[in-house]
Amino acid sequence: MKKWIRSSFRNRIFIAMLLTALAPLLLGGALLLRLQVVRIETDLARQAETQLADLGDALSGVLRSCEGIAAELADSTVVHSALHRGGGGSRTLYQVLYRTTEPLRDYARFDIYDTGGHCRYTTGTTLPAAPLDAGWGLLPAAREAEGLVFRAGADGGLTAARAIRGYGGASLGYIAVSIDQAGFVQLFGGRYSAVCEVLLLDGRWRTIYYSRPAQARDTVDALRTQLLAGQPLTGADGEYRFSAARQAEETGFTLILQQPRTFTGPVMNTLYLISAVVGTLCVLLSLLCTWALSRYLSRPVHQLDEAMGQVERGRFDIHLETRRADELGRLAASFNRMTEEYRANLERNLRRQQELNETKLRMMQAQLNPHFLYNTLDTVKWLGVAHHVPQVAELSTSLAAILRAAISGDDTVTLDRELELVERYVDIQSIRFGDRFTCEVDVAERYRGCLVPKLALQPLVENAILHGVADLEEGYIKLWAEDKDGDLLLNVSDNGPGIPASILEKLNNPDQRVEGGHLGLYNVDSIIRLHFGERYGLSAASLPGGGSRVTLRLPMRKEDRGEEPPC
Amino acid sequence: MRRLFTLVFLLLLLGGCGASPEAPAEGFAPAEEERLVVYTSHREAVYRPIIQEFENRTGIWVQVETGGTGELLDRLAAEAESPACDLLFGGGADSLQSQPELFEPYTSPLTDEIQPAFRCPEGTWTAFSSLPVVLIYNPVLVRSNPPDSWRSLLDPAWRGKIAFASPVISGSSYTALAAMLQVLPGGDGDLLAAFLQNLDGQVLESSSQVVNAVADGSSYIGAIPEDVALRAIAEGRDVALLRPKEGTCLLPDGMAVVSGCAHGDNARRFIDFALREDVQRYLSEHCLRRSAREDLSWSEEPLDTFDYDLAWASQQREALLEQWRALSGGGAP
Repeated sequence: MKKWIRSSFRNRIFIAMLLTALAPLLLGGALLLRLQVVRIETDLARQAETQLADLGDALSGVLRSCEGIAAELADSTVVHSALHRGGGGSRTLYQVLYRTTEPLRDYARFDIYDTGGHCRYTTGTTLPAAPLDAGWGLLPAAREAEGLVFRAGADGGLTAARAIRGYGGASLGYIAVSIDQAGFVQLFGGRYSAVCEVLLLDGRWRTIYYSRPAQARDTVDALRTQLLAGQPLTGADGEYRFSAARQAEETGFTLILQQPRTFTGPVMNTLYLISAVVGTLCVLLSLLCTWALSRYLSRPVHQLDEAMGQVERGRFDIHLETRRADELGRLAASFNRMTEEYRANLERNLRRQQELNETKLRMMQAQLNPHFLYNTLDTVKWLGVAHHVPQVAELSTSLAAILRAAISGDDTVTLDRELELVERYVDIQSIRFGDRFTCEVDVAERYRGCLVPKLALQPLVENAILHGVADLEEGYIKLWAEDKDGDLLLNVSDNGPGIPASILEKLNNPDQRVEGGHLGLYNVDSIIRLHFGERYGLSAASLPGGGSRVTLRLPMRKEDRGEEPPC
Repeated sequence: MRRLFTLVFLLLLLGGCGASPEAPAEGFAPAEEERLVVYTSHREAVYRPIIQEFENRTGIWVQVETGGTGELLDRLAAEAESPACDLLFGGGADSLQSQPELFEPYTSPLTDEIQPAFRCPEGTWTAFSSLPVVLIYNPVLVRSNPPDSWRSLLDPAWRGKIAFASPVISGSSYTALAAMLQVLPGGDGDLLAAFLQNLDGQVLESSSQVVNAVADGSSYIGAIPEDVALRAIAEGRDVALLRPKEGTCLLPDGMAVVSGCAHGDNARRFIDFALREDVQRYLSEHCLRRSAREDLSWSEEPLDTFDYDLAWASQQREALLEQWRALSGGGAP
């Protein structure tokens, strides 16, 4: 990844822009979501706190008055004497009972039990039929304690009892207080918002009151398990938020407010899903945009880089097209100017070099006065004639012809003239090798007018003589012309030993050439390639039956005599 | 670059995933020494008042997990490395005795109050109550010849009409099975095969399901602990009770401290509590259970009992259950 980013300017721009586009977007989105959640949670917590405080005040107020009333009743002589007497309904007692319990009778019921657990007096409508078990639960607990003892009722609700003691601490009976579901509804009603629910749990988190009695079992069991396991309080289904507040130490009760959670699990999941989808869309869009944009921005740099590479490979005719007017546009223009300048400079240098070469050649030509050489050769010829040595005359005539051709100013000659020179050369070599080879020239008349570089054929023939037939008794050299693909092919073959494979390879591969033998052939090849281009030049092959063939490929050009080319 | 990526990633994580700012309710949970975890196979009507009274008197928070005795024993065996439970409350003494390695011996100071027959000499378990297995039938469907003996369970006349809880899950059901095998003559394997054949593939999961099946008429007869039957009769359901004429077993159900548990002291405290006179009295008066204490003998209907071989029942438990599973077709419980 890192390597990929660093490998290209465009990738860097791409990643940088992607980050710039995405990071604030995603961060902002996530932050917004989180802030919203936190804000709502904080609101809920604050609401819960105030409501719980209010509910707690109401509850502790009622419980305190219960204690006071129970104490008052337990100490009342009317109650004592009524229990002593053991009779039925006593008017005085009921007067005391009703008067004392007046402030709380909306919420709570007060009963007076005898020591056997039978209910004797009640503020309720009827006396409970079944006696309380005096050996189990609330009553023994009250017997052992000083004040009012609170217990969660077996089926919910709150029960409390206080022992009534006579002289010397003898137990006379019990004052029992019970607050049932309806009492709690009355007590807590209007003190919490309608969407919330209230739970009142005892010291071990058993239900005393739940504003939704049907769910009491599941919810409280779940909360208790969560509390004991040290988990957050989420209830049975996690759709509510629970805030707990412990009440006064002596009761050990816990009030819990259940608030509906705005961001419940499913809502939160939907929210996250939507965020994820939007996020993914944003990522895709950003990817697309930044990819295109990075391409647009990095294109001039990329083009410049490409062009620079071309220049490095030797192509100076490169030109950057740009219509931009900014730094990159100016950079491209500068690049164009620079290559232009460079190319012009190169051409100037080349021309100067050529001029220099030509001057050098002329100077060398001038060093040896050719007329002096012709005259001398002429003299040699006549001396040969006068002394009846025709070979000398012939030799000097041929040599003079070759010399003249060599130093004449023209670069190209007709094939006809070139062949004439070749024949002169063969004449000279025939004398030297004593007619041990024959040279056959088979060039159709239509090719003879073609223009060829001066002295291009002679090195081929020389090669055929020196490296081909020199050591043979009956050497045979053939020279013929043909045309192929519009080019002129001049072939020289011999029946000599052929060309060694290593030399052959070098001859056919211009790049591998080194200085050494066959210098004449290399020169011809180089001159032709330089003059006419890479597709022209020299190729060589060993023939299957022995001997070799060297082929010169030239463009078909005619001497400008207004004739139609014959081929 | 890499640091930048990490930073962005962290910020995203912080922003997106910490969405629930909920912490456990601090300050409300009790301290470790105020806790007790109890696995019980008792019915709720039995364990709930007793445990709540224990909580009220001691201030200890009791966490209850319920299940069949066999189920709970399997769970204890699975958790043997790090026990989640402190006390097994309920389960036939034969079942508890079959896996003594799961429990830590404890002899309560109140052991002397227990009937001598219900004392465990090794202290592996402590008797809580006793539960004789009885036969029940639906008096509406069974007019004559009600099932009055263990042999009735093998009687082809009742084939496919017997409600029986799987002994693999229910401890009392295992006790019933072991009692039947001990009482009836013949090889255990043959008796078991004959019984399963008579059940005709109907195996229930708990004693209360057996009562339901008999009461609603989907089965005619069944075998369950006495208290379950008495409660059903008290509730006015169509169930009648018969004690087998060969005699029934009077097997104690026990409490045992789990070996290596976290709150052993509280577990022992609970055992002492459960043996108290007031608790045992409450048990026999309100839960229709026979008390384990000697001083609280059940006045009603003295029981014909035979000498139930507890050692044999606990030794054979694994083998018999294995045989049961094999005969009832592997997959069935």
